[in-house]
Amino acid sequence: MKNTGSLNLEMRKKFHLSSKWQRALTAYWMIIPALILYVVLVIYPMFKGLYISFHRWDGLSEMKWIGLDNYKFVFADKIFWKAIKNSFVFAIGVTLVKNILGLFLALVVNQELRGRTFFRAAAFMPVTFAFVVIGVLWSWIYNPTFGLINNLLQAMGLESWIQGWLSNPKIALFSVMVVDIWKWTGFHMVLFLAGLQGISKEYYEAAEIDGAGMFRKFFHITVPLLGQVTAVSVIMSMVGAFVGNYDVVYVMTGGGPFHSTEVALTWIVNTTFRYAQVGKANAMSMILFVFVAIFGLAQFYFMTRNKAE
Amino acid sequence: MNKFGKKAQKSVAHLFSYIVMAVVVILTIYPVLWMIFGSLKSDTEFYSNIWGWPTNPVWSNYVTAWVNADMGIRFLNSIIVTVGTLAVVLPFISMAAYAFAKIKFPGSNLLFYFFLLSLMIPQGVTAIPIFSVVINLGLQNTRLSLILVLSSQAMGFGIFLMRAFFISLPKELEEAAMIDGCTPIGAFFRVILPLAKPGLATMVVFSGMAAWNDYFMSSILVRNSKLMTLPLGLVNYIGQHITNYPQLFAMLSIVTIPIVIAYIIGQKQFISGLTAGAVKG
Amino acid sequence: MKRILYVLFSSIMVLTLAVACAQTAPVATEEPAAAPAQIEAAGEAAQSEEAPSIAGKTLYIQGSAITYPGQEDAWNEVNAAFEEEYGVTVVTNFSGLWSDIPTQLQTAQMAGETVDITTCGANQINSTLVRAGMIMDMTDLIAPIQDRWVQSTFTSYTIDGKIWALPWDSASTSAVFYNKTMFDELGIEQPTTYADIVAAAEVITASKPDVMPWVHQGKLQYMWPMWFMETFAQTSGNNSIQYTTDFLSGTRSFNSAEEIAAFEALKPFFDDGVLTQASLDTDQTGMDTAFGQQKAAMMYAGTWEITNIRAAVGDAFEVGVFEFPIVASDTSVLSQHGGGADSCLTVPSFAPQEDLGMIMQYFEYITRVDNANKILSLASPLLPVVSSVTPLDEPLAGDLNAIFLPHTIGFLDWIWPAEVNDAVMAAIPAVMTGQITSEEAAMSVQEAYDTLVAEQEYKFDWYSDWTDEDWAKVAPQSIPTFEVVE
Repeated sequence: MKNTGSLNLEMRKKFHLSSKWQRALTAYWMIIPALILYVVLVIYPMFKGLYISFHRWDGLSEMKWIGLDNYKFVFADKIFWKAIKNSFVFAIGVTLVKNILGLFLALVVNQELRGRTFFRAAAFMPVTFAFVVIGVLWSWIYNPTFGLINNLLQAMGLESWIQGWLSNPKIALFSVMVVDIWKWTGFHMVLFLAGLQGISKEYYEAAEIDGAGMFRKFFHITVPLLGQVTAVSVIMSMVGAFVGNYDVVYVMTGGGPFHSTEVALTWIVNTTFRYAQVGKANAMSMILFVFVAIFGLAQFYFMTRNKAE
Repeated sequence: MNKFGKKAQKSVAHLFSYIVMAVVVILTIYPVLWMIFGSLKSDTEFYSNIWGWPTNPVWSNYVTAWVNADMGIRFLNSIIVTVGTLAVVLPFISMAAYAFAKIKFPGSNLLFYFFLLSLMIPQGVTAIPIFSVVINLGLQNTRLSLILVLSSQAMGFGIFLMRAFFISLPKELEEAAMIDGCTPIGAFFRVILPLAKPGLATMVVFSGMAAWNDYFMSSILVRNSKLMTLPLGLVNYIGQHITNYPQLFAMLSIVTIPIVIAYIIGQKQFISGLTAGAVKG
Repeated sequence: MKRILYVLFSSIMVLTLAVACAQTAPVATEEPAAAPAQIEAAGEAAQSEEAPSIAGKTLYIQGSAITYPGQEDAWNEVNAAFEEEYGVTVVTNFSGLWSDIPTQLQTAQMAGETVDITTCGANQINSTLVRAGMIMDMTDLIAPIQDRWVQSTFTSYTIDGKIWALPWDSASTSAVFYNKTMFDELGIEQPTTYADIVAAAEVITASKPDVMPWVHQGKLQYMWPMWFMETFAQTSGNNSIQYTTDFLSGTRSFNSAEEIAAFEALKPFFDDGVLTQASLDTDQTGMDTAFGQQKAAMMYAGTWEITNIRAAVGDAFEVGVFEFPIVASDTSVLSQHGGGADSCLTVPSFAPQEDLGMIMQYFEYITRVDNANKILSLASPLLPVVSSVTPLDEPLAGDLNAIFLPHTIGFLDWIWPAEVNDAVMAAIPAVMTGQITSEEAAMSVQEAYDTLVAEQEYKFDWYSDWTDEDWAKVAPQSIPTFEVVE
C-alpha cells in the first residue's frame, strides 16, 4: 500500500503542485467536512461526557462537582464488573464462533457449486434486519410455550432438552449470543470469502504438485494469506461486542434475569435513564471507552503492521 | 493420490457443502418466513398453528398494522432520514477517504486514527451530550438533526472502508487523467469516482442500513410523533398493542421487506465493494 | 442511461435533504387549530366575569402513547369541545413508552419547549420527578375542584402534605384470578391460606397434568415485587408501609426478621410446585393466554389486567377472584394488596406561569361528568378515581370493591427508589428458585440502599432539605381563578 502521491517532477511543475503544502492543503480541504461533522457531533459530546463524569447529576437538576468520586463508585459497583465480565464472555464467544463459522462457510461457498450466489445472499440477509425486529422475532422463537425451538424439540421427542432459554440465568447469555451470531455470521463469511478470492490459485496448484493434502494446504497457504482479513474480522467482532451490542441484549432480555445478560452497555444506559445517575454512567462510559480504544487500536496496529504488499 | 480417489474426495466435499449450505439457508430464511406466515394468521391460529403457513391468510393484518401505527408517515420519515444521511455521508466520506488514500500530507496517519476512534465509542450515554449540542444548534426535534447525527456516526467506519478501497485503485489512472488535462480535483470526479461504485455501494448499504434501522438515537432526538421513523413506530406499537402478535409481525414484515428487496437488488455491487475493502485494507 | 440514473439519484438525494432542512421547525401534532371562536357562555356563569380570558392561548399536553383502545379518540373529542368553548388551541403529543416520560420531560426542558400538562405514573412522581424539582405543587391550584376525585386516590400523590399530581384513568388493586369452572369441576373450594393453595395445586396436577396450577408473568422482572409486597404486608403484621418508610429513612435495616420472612415465604411457591419454571419465561400476553387457554388455573395480577383476561377467556369458563393467600404463620393478619391510582396528570414546574389559569380550566373541564366519563370509561375503571365516573360493568367489580379495596395499601415501589426496587426485583426470583437465601436477599436490598446513600446522597425525606429557593421553583406564583361548572 504505497501512498506516495507521487507524480513525477514534470507533471508537478506543470500543475503547480510543487510544494507539498499545496498537496496538503488540497487534502485538508477534502477532509474538513467530515472532520467538522465528526468533531462537533462525536468528539465534543465525548468531552462533554467526560466533564459530566466528574459531577453528580440526575439529568434534571443542577450538577454537583465531585471530582473522581464517580470513578471510585464505578470500581466498587459489583454489577458493573459483572456486566464487563459478561461483555467479555460475549465478545470472546461471539468472535470465535462468528469467525470460525464465517471462515468455514466461506470455504464452502468458495467451491464451484450451484446456488452459491443465492446462498451468499441468504446468509447475509440477517445482517440487514433491524435489531428491534430480530429481538421480537427471536424472543418469540425462544418462547417456552409457543416458540419454535421448544415445539421443535417436543416434536422430535427431545423434551428433556427444553429450557427456559431466556429465563435460565445460566444459559440466557448464550441464547442472546446465538442471536448475535445468527445476525452477523453472514457478514464475516463475506469478508473471508473476499479474502479467499484474493488468494491466487497458483499457490494451491504448486502445493498440490508437492503432494500436499487438504489440511496442509489450508494451514500453510490459506491461513497465512488471510491474515489481513482475519485481523479486520476479529477486531470488528470484538469491538462490536463491547460497544455495539446494546440493542440485541436490551430487546431480548433487558439485562436480566439477575443481570446474567447484563452487558456493559445495558448497564450504562440503565444507570443513566432509570437510576438517573448520569455522572456515574458517564464515568463507566469513559472507562469502557478507554479500555476498548487501547485494546482495539493496539490490535489494529499489531495485526496490520506486517501485511503483505 | 490417484485420479479416482481425488474425484471421490471432491464429490464428498461437494455433497457435504450442499448439506451445509442447505442447513444455513434454512436457518436464515425460515425465521423470516415464519415471521411472514405469522403475520398472516388470525389471533387464534397464531397460537395453535405454530409452524406452517396460514390456512386463511389474513391480509387485513397488514392494513390494520399500517393504519394503526401510522406507517405511511413513518415510512416517509425513514426514507427522508436514510436518503438524507446518504446525501451527507457519500460526498463527505469519499472526499476524506480519497485524501487519506492518495495524498501524502502531514498528519495523515494521525487524523486517520482519530477517525477510527469513533468505532470504539460506546453507544448510549453520549446521547444526552449529543442532544444538548443539537439544541445549541437549534435543531431539536427535527429530522435534520437525526441526519447529521447518524452521518457523524458513520464517519469512522466509512472512511476506513473507502480509504482501503481507493488504495486498491492503481494510481496510474490519475496520472493518465491529468496528462489528458484534468486538475487533481477533476481527476477525482471524472475518473476515480465512477470507478468507486462498488465502494460507494458498500457505503450505501452500510450507512443506509444503519440509518434505516436506528432506534436509540432517533428516540432521543425526535419525539414528535409526526416525525418518527419506522423503528420508533415499531416500538411504540409494541408498547400499545401487546396482545395482537399477528399484527405485530405484520409490522415487522413491513419494516423488513423493503430492506430485503433493496438488498437483493444491490447485492452484487455491495459484496464486490466489501471485497475490495477487506482485502486491501 | 447510467448518467441519467446518476443525475436522478443525486437530485433525489439533494431534494430530500432540502426537504429535511426546510422542515426544521418543530411540527405541531394532532389537533388542527380550531378557529378561536367567540366565547360561548356555557352554563350559568359568564366566563369574563369570573376568570380572566384564556382565549387565543395554546395548551401543550404530552405523555406516553395511549394504550386503551379508543381513548385517544375520546381525548380528541373532548379537546375539540374544549377548544370551541374557550377559544384555546390544544396540542397533544401522546407517543413513546411510559418509562420514557422522565426523559421526555428532560429533553423538553433542555430544548426550551412548552409543556403545560403531562401524563405520568405514580412511580415516577414519587421516586424521581418531584424530588428533582420537575413538578409543580398543585395543592392550592386544585382546591376548588378537589372534591371531584375519590379522595383516597390522592394518597399516592401526596408528599410532604402537598398534592403533586391528579389521579387519572383508574385505581387498581391486586388479586388472584382463577378458573372457577375448573375448580368447581375438581371440587376445590376457594383457597384462603397457603396450605389451601398447595392442596389445590396437588389436585390440579393429579387430574390435569398439562395444566400449571399457577402461572405468572415472571419474565417481566418488575412484576415480581408485588409478591414481596403481599408477603411482607403479612409478615410485618400489616405494617409494611411504616417499616418501609423507616427503612428508607435509615432507622430500620432491611435485614430484619420480617423482611427476611417475607422472602422466605415466597420459596414454597416453587418448591411445592405451585409455580413452575415456565413462569420465568412468560410475559404478560403469555400469562393471559395460558390462563385463557386453560393451561393454567390461577394467576396473580393487578386489576388492570381484567380487560385482557376477559379477552383471553371469552366464554370458555367462569373467572373468579380471591385474595392473595395467607402465608404468614399468624393467620389472623389481613391479606393486603398493593394498589392505587397508577396514572396521573401533572404540571411540570417549568410550565409557563401565565398558562396556569388555562391549565386549571382544562382540568376542570375534563373532570366534568360527561367529559370524565367519555375519557375514563375507556380505561376500564374498575375502581374509578373521579367520583362521577361510572364503574366498569364487570361481574367481579362487586367483590373487588367490597372486599379488596378496603385491604388495599399503596405499592411499595411508589415509595422506594428505583435502585432498591431493582434489588428487590432481582432478589425475589433468585430466592424462589433457591439461588440465594432469604438472608442474602435482604442483605442485597440493604446494600443497594446503603450504596445509594453513600454515592448519591439519597434522602427519603428530601423535602426537609429544601431551601426556600427550591420551593419557589415549584410553586405557582399566583393561584388563578377559573370557572367551575357543576
